[in-house]
Amino acid sequence: MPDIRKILSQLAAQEAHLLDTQFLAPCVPGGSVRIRVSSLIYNFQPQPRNFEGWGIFAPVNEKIAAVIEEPSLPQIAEYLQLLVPVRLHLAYVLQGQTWLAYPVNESDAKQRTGVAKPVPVHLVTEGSQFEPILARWDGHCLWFEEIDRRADPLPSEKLKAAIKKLILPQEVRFKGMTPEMRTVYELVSRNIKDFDPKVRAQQRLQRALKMGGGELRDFGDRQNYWLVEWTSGTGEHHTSAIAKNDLTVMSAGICLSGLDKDFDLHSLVGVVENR
Amino acid sequence: MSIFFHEQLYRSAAVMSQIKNFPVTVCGAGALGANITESLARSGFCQLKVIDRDRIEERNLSTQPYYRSDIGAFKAKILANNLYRALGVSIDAHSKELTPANADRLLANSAAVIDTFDNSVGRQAVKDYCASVSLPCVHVGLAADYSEIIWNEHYRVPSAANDDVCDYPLARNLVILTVAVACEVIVTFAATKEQQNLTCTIGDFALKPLIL
Repeated sequence: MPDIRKILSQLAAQEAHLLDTQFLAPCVPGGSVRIRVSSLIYNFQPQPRNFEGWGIFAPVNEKIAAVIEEPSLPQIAEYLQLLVPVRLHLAYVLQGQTWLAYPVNESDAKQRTGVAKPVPVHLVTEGSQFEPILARWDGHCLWFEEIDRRADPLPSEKLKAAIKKLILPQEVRFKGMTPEMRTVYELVSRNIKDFDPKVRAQQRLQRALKMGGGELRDFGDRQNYWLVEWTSGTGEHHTSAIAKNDLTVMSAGICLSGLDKDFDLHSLVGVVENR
Repeated sequence: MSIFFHEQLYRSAAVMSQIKNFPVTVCGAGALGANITESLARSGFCQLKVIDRDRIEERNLSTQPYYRSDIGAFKAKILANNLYRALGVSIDAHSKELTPANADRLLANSAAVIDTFDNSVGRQAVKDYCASVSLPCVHVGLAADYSEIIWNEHYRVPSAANDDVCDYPLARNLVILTVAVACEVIVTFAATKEQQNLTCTIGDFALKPLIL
């Protein structure tokens, strides 16, 4: 039977040695850094407390480790080489240098990490929305390594252009688009206020009325049509029922002799003003 | 097989061994400095140091080996990171200004210094320090349509009139020609200690009509 006192004294010696040892670790704001000595995990609070980035740490005591310098890229690369590589698309910033990302290949990510879902990636120092990156999985977290230079850069440009035009996720199409790209596009669009159906409807109605010279006051959702309150260029107030799919007039609010459906919201303004 | 396979076939194993362990410090990571550093690293120089205080700007992309996504970052750091990622060669990068006060620390442990600075103050600091400790130093410079590669003994620091201007005319082909010539000068020096002083223009490309 092993001598418990001997084991304890060995551990105490290792712990004492630990306090003289510098170590390299990644750190997120408010997080801790940890090292393993003889299967025991030691957690340290970084100093400064809100440090974010890669650091070389020196223990101050059993609970605090101070950042003493920034490691070089070769040192970081050596650390990352020990972890599992995963290819991802960046979606959007969650906080600081932490981004939400989605696997470039769900099946590959599942084999490597056990899951294929939107994941946070820490310490992203370069890259932009939809950009393909290489990150490393340590069993709990993903750490940014570099922009994936082997990936085709054009899909991310096309996704960026589509999001700028507020194209709905189900309507984005281009050659080479993968289901994973559509998922990351959905993630990004969910985070953009302009993709809210009500905001989009409001913009659509505003645009149609403005082209005709009118102005939107308010509108209400009535299942398959909108009840739109608007004013003409002359300041007259009107309420019209407008079809959601193509903005044709279901009920103009003025007498159009049953020809309401021949008009849309854009042309309706002109008709009202010239009647 | 080494990544320097073709270089070794061309230059011999003995020369490759000499340049591998030949410490070179490149002052400047702009059009000349960054491309020289890259060419030396890809030719087999494994002990390189690069010093530059500047950050990458959009207008640099036509002549310097940086990416759009690098704009705003320190040139020396990005250059070192790119070459580490490309070749696994670790370059000692210093993103700081070289002055007479720190020249001894920054240029220490070099077997040769290459000066490509864009300002006469920096060039003067390099020239003076290298002369004071007899450290071999070659100055590489460009004018509108020619370039010069001159060792310290013969070099005169140009006037400060054109220092740090950004709207100068510059042809990438002249830059690359000058970089190739400067790198050959350094390889020759590492292998034989011969110091060649050279000048070149775009017209120095050896172009011959192909007679069909």
